[in-house]
Amino acid sequence: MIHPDREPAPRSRHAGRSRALRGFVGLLAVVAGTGCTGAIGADGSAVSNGVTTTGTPVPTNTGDTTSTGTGGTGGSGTSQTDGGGAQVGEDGVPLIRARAWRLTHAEYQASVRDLLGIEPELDAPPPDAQGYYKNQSALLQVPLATAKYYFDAAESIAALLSAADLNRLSPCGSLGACADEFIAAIVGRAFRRPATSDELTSYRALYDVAAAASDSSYPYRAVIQAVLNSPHFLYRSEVGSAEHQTDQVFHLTDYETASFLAYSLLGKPPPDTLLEAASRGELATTAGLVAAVDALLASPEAAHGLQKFIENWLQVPDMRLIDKDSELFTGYGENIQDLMQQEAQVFIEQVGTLDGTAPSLVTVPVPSVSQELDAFYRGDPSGAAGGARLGGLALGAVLAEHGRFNLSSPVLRGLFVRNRVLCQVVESPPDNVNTAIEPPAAGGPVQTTRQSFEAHTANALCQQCHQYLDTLGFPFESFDGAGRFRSMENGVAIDTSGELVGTDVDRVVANYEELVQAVSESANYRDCVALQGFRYLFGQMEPEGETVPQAVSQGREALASSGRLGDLLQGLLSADVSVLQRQR
Amino acid sequence: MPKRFEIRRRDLLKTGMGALFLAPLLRQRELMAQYIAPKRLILYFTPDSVPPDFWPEETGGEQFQLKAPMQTFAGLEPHMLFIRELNHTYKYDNHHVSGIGQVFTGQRLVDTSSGFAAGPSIDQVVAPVINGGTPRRSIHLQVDDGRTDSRHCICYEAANQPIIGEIDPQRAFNDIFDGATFGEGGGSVPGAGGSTTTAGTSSTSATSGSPTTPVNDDARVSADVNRQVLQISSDQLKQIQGFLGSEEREKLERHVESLAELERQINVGMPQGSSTSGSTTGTASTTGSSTAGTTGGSVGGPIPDYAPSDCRETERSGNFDLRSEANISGWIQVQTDLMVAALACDRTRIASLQLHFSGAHLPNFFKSDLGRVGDSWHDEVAHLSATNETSRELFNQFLTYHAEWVAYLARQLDAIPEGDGSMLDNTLIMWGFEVGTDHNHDVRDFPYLLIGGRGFGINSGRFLRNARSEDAQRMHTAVLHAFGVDAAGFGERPDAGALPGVLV
Repeated sequence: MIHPDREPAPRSRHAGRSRALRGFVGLLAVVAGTGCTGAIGADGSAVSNGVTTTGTPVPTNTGDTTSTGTGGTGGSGTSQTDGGGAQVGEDGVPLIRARAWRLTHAEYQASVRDLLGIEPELDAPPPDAQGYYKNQSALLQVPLATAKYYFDAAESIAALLSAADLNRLSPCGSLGACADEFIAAIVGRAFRRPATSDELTSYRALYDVAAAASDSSYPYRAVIQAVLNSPHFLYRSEVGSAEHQTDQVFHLTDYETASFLAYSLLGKPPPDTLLEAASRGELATTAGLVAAVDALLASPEAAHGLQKFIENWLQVPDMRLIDKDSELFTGYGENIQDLMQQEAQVFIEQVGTLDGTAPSLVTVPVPSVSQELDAFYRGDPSGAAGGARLGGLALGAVLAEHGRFNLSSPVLRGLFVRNRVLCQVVESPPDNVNTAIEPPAAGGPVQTTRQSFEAHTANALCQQCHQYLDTLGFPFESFDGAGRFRSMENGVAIDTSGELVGTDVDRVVANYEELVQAVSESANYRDCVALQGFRYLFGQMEPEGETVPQAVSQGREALASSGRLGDLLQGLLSADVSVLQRQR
Repeated sequence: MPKRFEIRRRDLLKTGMGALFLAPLLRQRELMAQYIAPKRLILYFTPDSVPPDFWPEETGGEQFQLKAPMQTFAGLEPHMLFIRELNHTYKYDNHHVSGIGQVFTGQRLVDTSSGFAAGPSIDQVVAPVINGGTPRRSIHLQVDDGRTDSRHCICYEAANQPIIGEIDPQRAFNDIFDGATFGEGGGSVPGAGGSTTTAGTSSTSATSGSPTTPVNDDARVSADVNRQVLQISSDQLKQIQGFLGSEEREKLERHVESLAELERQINVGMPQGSSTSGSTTGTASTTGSSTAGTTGGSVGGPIPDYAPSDCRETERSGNFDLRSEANISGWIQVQTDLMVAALACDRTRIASLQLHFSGAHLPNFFKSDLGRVGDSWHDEVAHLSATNETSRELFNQFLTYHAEWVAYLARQLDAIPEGDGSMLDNTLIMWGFEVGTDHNHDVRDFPYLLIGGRGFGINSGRFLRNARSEDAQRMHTAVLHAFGVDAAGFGERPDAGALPGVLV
């Protein structure tokens, strides 16, 4: 359960610019700190759509300075500089670098299924490190508990296979007749590329050791157990080919590109057709890449991948982890939590289509999924009339996630919009600042949540950051901490007015509807959706600096022209991802 | 209560990790004439905190007198070291998240959205040094609701890498003992004070159903395969590392280290005489890394001639849920007994036990007359003022309840003879909470209680009130020194220096 004072504070990235310490301010026992650092443009005008490192305002539109390299030919390894396709930022910092990207647990399950044709029941894995998105490659590691998990799972899975399964997996239809072919087939399939001769040798040696067992199927199981533990199975490599190992700039191999496309969009290993395209070298050309992406987008699972992105972008939580005060939010409990989860699912399936648009994500009305949930949302007497619930930001699950145990939170919601929806960065509060908020009480000096936060942020030091947060969050006050409608709080009418500042659509808004309408018209927002798509599909944050990777600029162009989410995906995935630099 | 087993056989090949026996003879450690006791560390977490006046009464000259709710420790005073005026150095929001992340790591959060700590917990720093070649680097148990977010984590392998405790005693047992066979008699008779110093023998040797029975050929093949699987994967990782820059290489190095530790655990478990066709990897770095696994069972040095004196199998049945105090109590007891058994059987030298989570809600725990029984014990009780009598009485009950379980653990260890004293002399229990004086969620004056460890220099039997507030990391640093870790500081205070008075 969530403690009443606990705010599940969202991530703020370091913006990198500080303002001078102004000294102690004693309104709410604020310990002297470095002061809020507004990472929004200094004069509040133009703002960055990525990370601001210099603090100077940068253009917000899609005319960012990016290199416009064409797709390189695979394997050439020629050194490329700006204008020739190399994705470098300022000071030559590589935009994308070589890495080994561990599979998420869902991808691991899908890969086991794809490899072996079975769906074993696996224990829950150990938790991964947390970050902006759960699938970021820097976070997905293999500490001891995870290594043990994979080890035990591999052993169990190998033991679980029936004789029929093993025969099915054998190229000659039965065991005993073609051990080497079995090994080559399994290893190749598991590694998503043909096995090297060294690999075949080492797995054959393992097979021979295992052949001493009394069970004649054991050597085959041992090979399977081994490949399930292999880093070539557990990670997707993006390191290029051996002959270019020492090159500063290199290309992904075709097979690496195939894995990248398939896992990023479909969450599973590349299908045979894509692997065949890779074997023919087709993914090394822009035309081939675009065609391959088109083929993937045509598969029924592509929309599912898009929906997964939206779900992660909106930070839809596991509702079972969201505790609320059920006395205050009458009726909140497992049923409502499940229904909210369902509501999010239904909404995302509705808007997460290839023909969908970015504006629709924040403006399409949330469908009603159950009368029980509808009744819950109208449970506050001042909200009994119900109201409009527009867009993903008004999902019960999203509102509950960005709220407290027994309170709403203009700051959390404002920060969510700033960071996730507009891609702007605001610093975390300084260390040791007391950020706990008490619920307002009837008859007390502070009666509405808005008043609580206005008191907090009247402080000039805090206002440096909070001016960008609170005015975005106040329009959400028509939804309480559990997402219910309300128009009064402690007998006082709720003021839902707010203001957009530091955006390309700055204006005063009277309520939540006007807020999301403004956001939907914003080019900042549209560009942010493309950037978030990059962050999620590529499993990394964009590098610091003003040059965005080509994938981002292509994605932005797609949203600016056709506006289709399917074209966004095409733009992101068919960019020249094959030009990378190794970071030493 | 744990039962002694007369004769028991177990499926040796349950997980294919090989047959494991408890007699140290079969763990490939040399026996020497002189007895050297192991050192052990237990991290113990209970949520919330207490008003400072609930702690023992200081009676001058670092002496103290127990009073309710700590009265349950009566008789254990010589083993106890109370420390006051220790502060957490980092606070975020109401400190429930930053507190539980900090209590055993001395670290701030990696970031405020995930809430995970930015460095390893003290047990993981100590583990490579005191591991002694035991089959498990550390064990972690919980009595909790199964969630794994940052409010439920006290131990960290590294920054942003939480270690989740096991809530299921049977699963924990399976992992800790992994196909081990309990010998007949289970060890020396309690109270006989028998030490286990005779070279070449073990107190856990069975007189029948001998633990020296060799494993069958299939088990050996399986163990060889397992080793080779790990070796192949490790070689492949190193090959991939050759293509990567430094950050990515380091990321994969953690995986290499993990595989080395897994291989060590296989080797530790194998009977003597088994084939060793898989080589132990000797390339994993074990220096300078708090998360390094050990290889070949020799990092930190084997403890010669150490044999557990009272190794028993424990009960693992019960209703393990949080629905009633009775169920919670049964659960805590089972987990505590299992932990004691794991230590007594020398399966590990490092353990943690986490009761509930930070700001634990424990609905309906100690039902109160506060007018509203809702979803959260903590919210109803802790957020009243420190002078509210009902709140204070409930805190009294809360602390009494948890103190009884900590005392139970201490007594179980104290009942097992070891060397010239008991296991408690060679085991340090560090009991911590996630907030300071509570009610106001203060980060100052965190009550830490160290129990045990007299055998390796803990200055027990005292009430240490620091003249001025000290960073808690100074206490952690002193504890590191007690375990032989030469550290200048700990957590986010790498130069803190050791707190005086913790060690003799």
